[in-house]
Amino acid sequence: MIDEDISEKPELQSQPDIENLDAVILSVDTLEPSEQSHPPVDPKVFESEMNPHLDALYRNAMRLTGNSNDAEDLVQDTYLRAYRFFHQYQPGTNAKAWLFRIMNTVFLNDYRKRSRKGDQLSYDELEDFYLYNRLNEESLSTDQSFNTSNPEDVIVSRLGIEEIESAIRTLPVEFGETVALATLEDLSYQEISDVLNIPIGTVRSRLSRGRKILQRSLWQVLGVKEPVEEKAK
Amino acid sequence: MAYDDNYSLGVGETTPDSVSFDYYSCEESIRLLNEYLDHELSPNERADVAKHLDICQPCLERFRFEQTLLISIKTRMQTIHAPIELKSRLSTLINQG
Repeated sequence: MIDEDISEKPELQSQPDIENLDAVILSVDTLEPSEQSHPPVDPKVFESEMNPHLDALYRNAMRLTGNSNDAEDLVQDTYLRAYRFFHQYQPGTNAKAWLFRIMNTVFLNDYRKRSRKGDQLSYDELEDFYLYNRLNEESLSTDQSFNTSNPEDVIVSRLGIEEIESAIRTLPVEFGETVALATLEDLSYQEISDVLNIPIGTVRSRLSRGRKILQRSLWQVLGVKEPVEEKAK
Repeated sequence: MAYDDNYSLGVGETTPDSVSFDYYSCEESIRLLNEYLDHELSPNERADVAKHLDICQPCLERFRFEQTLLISIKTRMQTIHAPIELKSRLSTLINQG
């Protein structure tokens, strides 16, 4: 039996009202916090709802923009728009999904440069458990560059942030988005559907294919690394 | 035994000792891999996959590996935090309004 604690998701809160959100948040050219025609927002209330998600927003912005300067700009843009339209947010609903939806919309509108086309893989032929199989074969071969017989040990000891970021970057954009939101940020499939504005069936298929492609990329990244130093026996 | 080195089962094949209509096959379980790991299955579906894993060691090993992989990815990436300077800048911006 597999341990139950793979991901601790908070109870699914009621979904934020995001109808017409895209048009509204893009309708503003200036983001001066002082310009408000709505009841003033208590910054402390806003911060208490939104600040817990700043790290996740920054990680997402880094993935979208690829560099820290643009990522900070995108976070700031997102945050200030959220502040400006805080009256549209229903307190106690899913703040994280609401913020991610804003960031996604802003990014598509302002920051997207080229759309990355990944290698043209035949997705229907993608092998299940690709990484497990390659690591297993490696451990059985005479050339034991990983120096271990346990595929899980290789992951725990060899997989670092650089390898993961590099592998995620190789994914076609639409797969990378879904994989990142599900795997890194614990969003439910319904939340991902809301954030990316795609049907939930599309979330499932992109996630399935995206994770398979990710495993191929991880294998390439792990495979070309120098072998770890021999531990003293 | 249906397994070969590449661990692929044909449609409709089941693991040994299983009652085919009471238990998911390997193929059926694998189809639900992501939803199982992401806690997106109904309680009944989740229990059915778990029943298969109880009797199928190869699936259990592979599912366990996938789980380790996803947890490792998430754990490492969640060590990345927004810069302190960014957070304080945002706080200044909205508190001065």
